[in-house]
Amino acid sequence: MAAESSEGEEETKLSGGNQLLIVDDDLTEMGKKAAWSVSSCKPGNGVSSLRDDNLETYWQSDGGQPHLVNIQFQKKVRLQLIVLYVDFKLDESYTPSKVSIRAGDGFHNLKEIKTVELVKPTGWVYLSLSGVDPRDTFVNTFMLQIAVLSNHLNGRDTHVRQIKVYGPRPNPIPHQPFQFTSREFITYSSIR
Amino acid sequence: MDPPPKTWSIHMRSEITAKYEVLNRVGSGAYADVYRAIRLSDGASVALKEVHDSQSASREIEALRLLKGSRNVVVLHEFFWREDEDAVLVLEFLGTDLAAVIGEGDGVGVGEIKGWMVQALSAVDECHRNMIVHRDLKPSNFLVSDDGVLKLGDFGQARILVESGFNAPQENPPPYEDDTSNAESSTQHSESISQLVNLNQTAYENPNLGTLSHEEYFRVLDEMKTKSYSYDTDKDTNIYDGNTSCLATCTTSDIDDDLCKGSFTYEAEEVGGNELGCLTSCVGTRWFQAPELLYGSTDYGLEVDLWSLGCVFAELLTLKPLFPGTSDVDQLSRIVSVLGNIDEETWPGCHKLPDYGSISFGEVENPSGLEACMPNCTPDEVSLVKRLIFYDPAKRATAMELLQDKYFSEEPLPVPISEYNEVDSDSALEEFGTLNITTTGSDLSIQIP
Repeated sequence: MAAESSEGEEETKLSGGNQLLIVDDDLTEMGKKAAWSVSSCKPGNGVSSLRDDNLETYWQSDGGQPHLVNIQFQKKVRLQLIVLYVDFKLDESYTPSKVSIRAGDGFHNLKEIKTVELVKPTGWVYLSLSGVDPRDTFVNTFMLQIAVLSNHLNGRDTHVRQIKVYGPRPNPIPHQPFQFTSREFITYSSIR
Repeated sequence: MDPPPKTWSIHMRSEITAKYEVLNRVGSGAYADVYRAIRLSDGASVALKEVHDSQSASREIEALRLLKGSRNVVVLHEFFWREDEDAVLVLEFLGTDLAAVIGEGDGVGVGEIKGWMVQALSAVDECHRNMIVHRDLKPSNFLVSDDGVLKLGDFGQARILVESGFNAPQENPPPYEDDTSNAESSTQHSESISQLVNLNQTAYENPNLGTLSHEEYFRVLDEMKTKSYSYDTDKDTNIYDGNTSCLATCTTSDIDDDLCKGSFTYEAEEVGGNELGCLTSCVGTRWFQAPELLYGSTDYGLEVDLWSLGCVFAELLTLKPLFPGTSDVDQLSRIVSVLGNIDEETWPGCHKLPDYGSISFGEVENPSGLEACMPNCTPDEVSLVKRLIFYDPAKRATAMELLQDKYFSEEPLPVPISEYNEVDSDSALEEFGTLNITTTGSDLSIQIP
């Protein structure tokens, strides 16, 4: 269910979550190129837990809401998809319930591009950065901010286990009727 | 008797205009305005620094008092300070600074650069011998006189790390705690400042008393500090100098570019042996800030100045800032991309830094190294900067150690101060020998022997 908010950004309700992380081949993970920071954290449960590819560990905030994750790039990048791993079964009142995605050049001009409501999610949650207009398939930005506005059961601090950020590959592999993978086949697969 | 009304202009302060003719404003910053003036008694040029922040003023006065007689530190001639007025420091006037030298770009010889480096190191060494951490070393704070003497100025953020007769408690109370004992101590604190200023004011108002001498002023100041200054509060806020990372103490404009919008305080767990308790991490200018400050450390030492000095030297050699970050996270990101990942191996104890868990960077497999940032510099020049730009503060070379570096004893030698205005010895004019230049009316005649 999607509804227009007063600001014009998209608000979506998502429930469930995928146990497997499945992403299109023409997307690449961009998070490794960024500097990641959080508004607060409990010692031992810092920002690195969001990026360690381990679903047992988690970032735990340690301050007032909203809890912020800042993803800053040195160059402008195209971003298409954010994937979070959250687990209501394990984290209960620490599980985010309302998440806002903001983008901009820096802290001074962040604009909210999407608000998502999560309903007891367990697993990977996909947040597309495409706008209402189907032509807006990505955002071109220096910075992304993920704000946890509220938690389930009115919890104060939050747990997020993983965050992945995807953008389009610079040179995506052209779609073939046959799945050719050798360099020679790909080289001659399109007219130059 | 009512205190005199607040005067908003330095030109209207009779005690100053009686001794100085104020010419023009030559600079202004967040906490001070600087004017050029002429001393009426002998016609000497001086700088009048009107400091709008009482803590900044007292820090600068105390530091300059301790460094009196240091060849490479700006001279404080006298100061004017009374209740309800900004402090005005009378400093020697210096025409330019290293930032202007860097801005002018080419035409600066290696010998001259070495000469400035030696003088900068001497200034920092003098500070550190006196246990003064400057905390805001940058090219614009190294002033240069017409005859090439480099002097360190702007001690408004300086701290004296060890001071006799000032025993702060081992732990600072949390900021803004509503506690009667705190309220009492802060009342005492404000009373002691007004006592001090009143005493100075009395001296101005009573001609029989005369102006307080430096010695008397500081004797009173020390007594009051021992008695009343339980905690050192930081500029413009009542946040104790310590217990806070940059996020809590920086201005709104800084927060806009910082980790997150909002104000956060950190409990300073390890005060260590520092008698003054914790320090604030929100000091200095971002491009020259040591990584421990960027990570919110509150128990750093003199080493933060050594990192800044490394950045200044790199800029002097390349004419470009070494790490020109646009925010604190970007600043760290630039440092990491050059020096590599921060971990226990490269920086023992880094995980104890307040913001270490809050900031993360992708694995840097091939850090570019300082060589890439200083492409046209010799290996010796890069090596000199490398001795200062270490993650681990304990590994940074001290100013005294650097003064012994072989770089300064190799050709071209540092230019002696007396030769700064002379033509470089390797100038192309030398091969012509002496030139006879004569002018007749509008003509210019150059004779080459």
